[in-house]
This record gives sequence, C-alpha cells and structure tokens, in this order.
Amino acid sequence: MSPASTPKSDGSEISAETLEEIDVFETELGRFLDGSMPEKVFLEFRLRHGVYGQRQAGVQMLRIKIPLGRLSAPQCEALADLCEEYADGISHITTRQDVQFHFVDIHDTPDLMRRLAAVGITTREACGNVVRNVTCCPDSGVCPDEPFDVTPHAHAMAFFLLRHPDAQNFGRKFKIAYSGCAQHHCGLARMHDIGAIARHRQVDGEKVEGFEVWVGGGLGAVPHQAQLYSDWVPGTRMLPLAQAMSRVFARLGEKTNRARARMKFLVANLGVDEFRRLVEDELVKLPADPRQEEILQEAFGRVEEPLRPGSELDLDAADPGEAFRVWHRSNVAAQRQEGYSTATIFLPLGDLTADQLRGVGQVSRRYVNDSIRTTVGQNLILRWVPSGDLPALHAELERLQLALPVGNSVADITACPGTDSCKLGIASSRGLAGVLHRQLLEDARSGSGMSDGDGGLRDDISIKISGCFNSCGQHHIANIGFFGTSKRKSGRVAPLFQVLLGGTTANNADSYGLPVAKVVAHRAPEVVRRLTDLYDTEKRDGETFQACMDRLGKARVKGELEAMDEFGDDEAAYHDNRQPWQYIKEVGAGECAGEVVDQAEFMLDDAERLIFEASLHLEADRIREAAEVSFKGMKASADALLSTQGLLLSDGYDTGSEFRMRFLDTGNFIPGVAEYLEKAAGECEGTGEVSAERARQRVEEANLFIEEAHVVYSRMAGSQVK
Amino acid sequence: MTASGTQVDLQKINVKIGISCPDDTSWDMLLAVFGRWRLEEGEEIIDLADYAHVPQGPSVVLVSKRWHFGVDFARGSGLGREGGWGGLFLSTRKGLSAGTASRVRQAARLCLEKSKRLLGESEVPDSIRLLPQEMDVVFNDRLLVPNTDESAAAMLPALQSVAAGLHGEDGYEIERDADPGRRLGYAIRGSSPVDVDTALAKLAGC
Repeated sequence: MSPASTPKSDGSEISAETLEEIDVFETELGRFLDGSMPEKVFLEFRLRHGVYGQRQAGVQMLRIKIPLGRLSAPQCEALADLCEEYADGISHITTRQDVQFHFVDIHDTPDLMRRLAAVGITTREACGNVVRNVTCCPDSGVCPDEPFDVTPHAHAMAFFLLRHPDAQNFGRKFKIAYSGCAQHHCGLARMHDIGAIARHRQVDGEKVEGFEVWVGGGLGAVPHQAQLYSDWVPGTRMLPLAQAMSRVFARLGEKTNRARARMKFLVANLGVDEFRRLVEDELVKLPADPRQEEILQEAFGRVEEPLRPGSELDLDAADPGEAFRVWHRSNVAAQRQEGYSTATIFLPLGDLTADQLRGVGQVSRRYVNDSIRTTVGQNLILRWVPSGDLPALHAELERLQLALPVGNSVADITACPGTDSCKLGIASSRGLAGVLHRQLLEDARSGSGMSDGDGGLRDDISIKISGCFNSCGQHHIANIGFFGTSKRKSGRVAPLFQVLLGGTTANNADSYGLPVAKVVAHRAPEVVRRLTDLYDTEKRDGETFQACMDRLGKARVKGELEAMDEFGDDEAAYHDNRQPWQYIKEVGAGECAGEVVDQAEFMLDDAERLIFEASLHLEADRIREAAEVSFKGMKASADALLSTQGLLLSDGYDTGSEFRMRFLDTGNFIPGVAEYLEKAAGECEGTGEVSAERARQRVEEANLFIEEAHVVYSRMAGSQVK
Repeated sequence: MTASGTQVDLQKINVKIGISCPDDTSWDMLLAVFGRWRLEEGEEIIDLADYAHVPQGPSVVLVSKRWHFGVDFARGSGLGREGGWGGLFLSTRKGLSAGTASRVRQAARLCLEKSKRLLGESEVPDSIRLLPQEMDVVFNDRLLVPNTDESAAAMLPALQSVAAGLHGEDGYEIERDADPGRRLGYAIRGSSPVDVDTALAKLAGC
C-alpha cells in the first residue's frame, strides 16, 4: 500500500499517484475477470473505488465522491458528459453529497475514473468499509448564523483521511460531518460516527476556532443518537483526533457480526467515557505527521471568490414577475456577505439530466464562478450570486427546467434508491417519492392541498423515505418518515410502508422518529394528507408538526391511520407505487456493508499484483523495474503479516527488523525464504543495479516469499485463506 | 472512420426519432409496457428506469446490455430542437459492427423497430405518431469521436449515406449541433414524410 498523500483537488493536473491507482484498479479488474482474484476481495476492492453492484445483475452503480459537495463548473460539465456516455444520462445527488451514475458497465469504469480524475474527482473510498465522503453544511462560509466557516476544516479532514493507512481496516463504513451551527438542519452532525459543530472559544484572550464533537451516532436498522465526546476541540486538533478514533475503531470495532460493526455499537458498548480514554491514549502514541499542517494550510489557502461584486435586489422596483417572487421566497437565502445570495436548485428525487447538469456548469460560469455545492437534501446550491442578478439567474434556470419553486418545502423529499436499484430494497421508495412529488407540484399549481396559498408549498413538514429498514433515505429524521416492508396474506405478498413520526433534521438531527403504523404501499401518499390535516386541525399557536404529534400521542395518531394496512382482496395492494406489475419480494445481499476483508488480505493481494507487474517488466526487459517491483511485493507481503500483529504503517516502523523479530526469529516463517527479503533489501540499499539474471531470480524469490506469506497468514487465521 | 482514416470500434450511437403527440400526453403507460418487455429473453434486458419526475428527461427507460430505449424530451441537435424536443430514442451500447454508415443504420433500424412495436401496444394512444423524417443522430463516445471539425468531416459521409438511403439524394437536410460543449450530433430532416415501414425497408436495403 502506498503511503497516504494529498491528491490534487483543484483540477489542474492529475497526480501520478491517482493515475497509478486507476491503473491498479484496471489490473485488478482484469485479474478478477480472468479468475485470479478472489470474488470477496475484489468486491471490497471495487467498493473502495466507488463501484457498487446494483440489484440488476451485470451492471454497476458508480458512486463519485464530492468532498463537502463542492463542485466546479468544469466538474459539472465533465459529470454531464460522463453520465451520457457511460450511464443512462441521469446524475443522481445522494444524501452524502456524492454523485451517482447507474447502469454502468464495469469494463468502462477505468476510463470513467481517468476522465473524472482529469477534473480532480476521485471515486476512491466512496463505498466500502472506509471513511465515506465527508459532508459539510452547504451554506458554510456564507450562512449568517455560523460562528465561522467550517469549509477548510472539513476539506482538510476529507483529504487527510483519504487513503490513510489507519482508515483501511474497519469492520464497517465510517461517516464524518461538519456543521456550521447547532440549530439548522443542513449539517446533520449528530447522526454521524464523528459529528463536528463549529464553536468559538476564548483561549488566552483570543477567539479560537474549534468544534463540539459528537461520536457514535448513526441511523440504520438500529439508530443511535451521537454522544458528546467533547464540548470543544481546537480546529487544529481535529485531524489527529479523527486518526486516533480511526485506530481505536479499527482495533476494537466488531468485524464478524456485520449488523453490529458500526462505530455506534463500539461507543455504546464501551461507554463514551471509556471510548474517550482509549482515544486519548492513542493520541499520545500518534507519531508526528507533518502532513496535517500541510493539508490544513492547503485547505485554508483555498478561498472561494465571488465572480462579480455584490448587488442589491429591489423586488418592488424590478417587477420580475410572480414566478420569480415564488421562487425567490422558497429557494433563495441572503448570505452574510452583503449583496450576495444563495440559490437552491431543487432536484426532484435528487436527479438531473446531462443537459441540466451541463447547464448548471454554464450558468455558474456566468454568475458564481465555481461555487456550486451539492446538499444532503439531494439538491444543488449556487453560492455568491449577486442579489441583483437573481432575476436573470432565475430566467436561465427556468430555461433549464431547474427553477421549481419548492426548495426547502414539503416537496423536498429525500428517498434512497429502494427497489429501483438496491439489492436490499423491499419497497419502492422512489416510486412513493415520485407519486408524492407529482401530487405536491399539482397542489402548488392549483393552490390547493399542501400549497402555501401563495404559489408555493408549505415548508413546515419534511418527508423522507427508505426502501427498507436500513435508513439510507434517513426516514428516522423526517417529520413523516417511511420505510419499506412487506406482508404475506393468503399466499401473496404485498408491499407496505412503516410510518414513523417524531424525527427532525433541526439541531443537527437531535431527535429520531418512532414507528406508529403500517400502511399498504399504494395508500402511503394518503398518509401525508391525513397527518397534515390532523396537524392543521389540532396545532396550537406556533406548535411544530413534531411537537403537535408528540402532544397528541401515538394512539391518537395511529387512530388516524387505522386499517390502512389491511388489504384482503384489494388487487391494488399487490402493486407498488409506479410499478404496475405484481409485487414480488426479492431481497439480495446488500453491498453497503461491503465485505470484511482483513487489511492483511488486501496487502497480500496487492503483493500478488506487484509480482505480476514485475513479471511483465521482466518480459519486456525492464530489468531494474522488475527487480524493484518484486522487492516491493515482498515488502508488501511482510507488511501484511506485520499488520496482523497490530503494527500500523502510519507508525513508520522498519519492515525488515520487525519482520525478522516477529516471524523469522520466532520460527514462524521458513528461514531460507525469509532471507530473500533481506537480500533484496541489501541490494536495493546499494546501487540498485542488478543483472537480468539476478532480476529473474528476484522475481522468482518474491513469488516464493509471497506464497509462504499466504501460508503463514492462513495458519494464523486458522483457515485456508488462499 | 476517424479523420486519419482509422476505423474505430464505435458502439455508442444515439438515435432519436421525432414524435407528434398532444401536449398533455402522460407517458406512465411505458411502466406497464416496459414492465412486460423487460421479462422477455434474448435482448439482454436488464430493467427499466423511471425518470418521469425529471423535466425534459428520458421519462421511462428500458435498459438492455446492448441499448437503452425510451421516450425523451431533451434538446435535440438542430434549430428548433433547442428546448425540449419529444422523440423516441435508442442509445446503443454494444453489438454494432462493420463501417460507420452501417452502424448508424443498425442503430436507426433498432430505434425504428422498437418504436413501431411500442406504438402498436394497446396502452399507447393513437394520438402519438412517429415522424421518421425528423431524426437526431449523436455519436455518444467523446474518446473515439470528439466533437471536432475533424471528427465531423470523418462522420458526415456516413450520415449522408444513411440520410440519402432514407430520403433520396436531394430529399434531406443535415445540420450539425452548433454547441461545442455537447457531443457530435446531427439533425437529419427529410423533406417529405416517411412512414415507419418504408423507413425500415429503406434502411434494410441501403
């Protein structure tokens, strides 16, 4: 494994490391396709490169990591091009601010990755048991209510942990979020493994940037509220803190029982005080890492500049029309910088076409430069719009069909892929979202139902939908949450939704909803109307939906949904939303949990790839390269074995001496074979020059060394791994 | 064929054929139709994708390993097609062979065959008509066919050959998409209406 490094993220050039990583992916894909790489190892390997199996056999979903959701105009245009050529022409924005393509041919993935790399985007660690995309409040830096801009801190975290060796051996995924404030709904910090909320503190008479840190939060089948780790950690200490937490999670987190392998279970089992003690012990042991300072400096050097001077909008004088007024009310917010606004581009179900995404890039070039962000609500935000330009921007977005005036309203529904493409899906979350979306837009047009009576939609209720209990649609933190389930009756199975109430995204998602009733899937849209009517009838002055439902109580609310789970002979009950065919329950093995592949297995596999590469060099008479790469292969397999002894690459240990002490001197490795590593190391320390014959010998020795490493690893693991 | 005369293995060609239909046409019937088609064997069909909620999008798409097919309201390649332009489209992914003109013909034939079949389904109202004289062809592979004047010069003879086969030597106009940010694409307009069966026969024969 190569040491962690800071990838270029400004789109100016592709780093050699990134290109090499994609070459390795292509090689490993070839090895998997010809049967020389185990399926389990390849599955986790491809996941770590963002390549995810769909419910439909033979095609992939590609998850593209967009750290903090920051997109530039060239990146939008490149994504638009790529979704046309390699996917189905649609880009999907996710709840982690990523972009996803569907129906991708796995053979196309290396080309796709190279073209993404050309605009500074990687798919690395978008999926799999690693640190997923670091999310960040999309208004950070421009929000009037934040104490300071968390963007550089979050950016540094994203690139510090990307490829970090201490973050490669987890039992499950690991999620981090940054929020600029405690109260708004854009950061969702308290449902994360690490949630950081911006806070200033006076230190020696100076106002210092830092974070309230929450740990062990998470949704999923068993949601956990995060626990307070510290009420203030200086911003400069966040990187080592996250590294120390990664080490504790990698060492003590569950690896066998996938259902209990997230960090939330570790924190719950240990208790936050013991977890804190372990992390603090680890912090003391961490070797000094100059990268941290470099990454922070680079992050703070990336200043977002507006394209044009700010300007004011006089709505009375400008008379931009009723459509603009409605859009302005629902989709526009004033920045803390005078004369500037943010504009939300509402995306139904998080989807937009290639033409639309290309159009966003072109519009941003004219109005805001590269300050586009994806949001955890599956929308886009344009920042730094001069307020006087808003009417012209609105006109351009209307031309692109991207000016729906329902941002932050009840129509802003979050939905996971559900049975559309996820192997775990039980019901069609997107189907339900699609039906609700259509109904709500009709309400807005007609001024009835959920309309705000002024051309838009009410904004006091949120809806989130998951296709199963795993909560990828975040149903726990909605005012009205749904998750898919099913019920068998008289030999037939019908799709249902469980309804949850009591959740909220406010205060960084500090309250999770609880189930109140099940309803037949095709009647789920009716639930929204019934509960809204109940709220409108019963609410007291200033009472939120959540507070009203709490006051009314579960029994009263359940009464409103009485008998909606009964279906008997109703044929419609056996069909899911927007699926006219008969429902069949088909649940496969999901990939969101990835495969638990020990880091040693990854490293041994990498060693095999290196030996293969060395043999190609030899065949092409590249003698020096053959010798060097075969030594790297031996070293990688020795490091693999050392990783089983708790040694971490980030500690910078000496492979040769540690290997001798722990494997050769203990009689655990055949001495004659172990010598190959020492011999090669000695030769490399000299001139590095070797004869063709010696290079050939070294390739053969490396092969034997790696074979023996597999045997030793298998013996230690108590099973035949290879 | 590229500008340098090299034959490229171009597999990704999009063909869209214009339709006329009432403005308030609901395309939800595609869910039922494609829901049946997806169960058929022999065409490596994977599934359907429902994007009816996306404005000026592909509505409902039937996805096969060899092609994607559906209705589409995205902008087309020529004048008059800049806004939403309704049509039935087919995007090939693999399975094309021979020279460029032959590959365009294969893609156009596939699109016409699927479109004819779709319009014959009982759920599809008679008010929807196919207009084979209004066609868009897009080379959907920027690595093999970048949107450059060189590529355009290399691809134009193939398109002219297909258009002439459909409409006669003097019976058509070809217009290149003027937007350099998009893929190399062309609007082909026949000067007279052509019915689907005639178009299919001509594409088979030329």
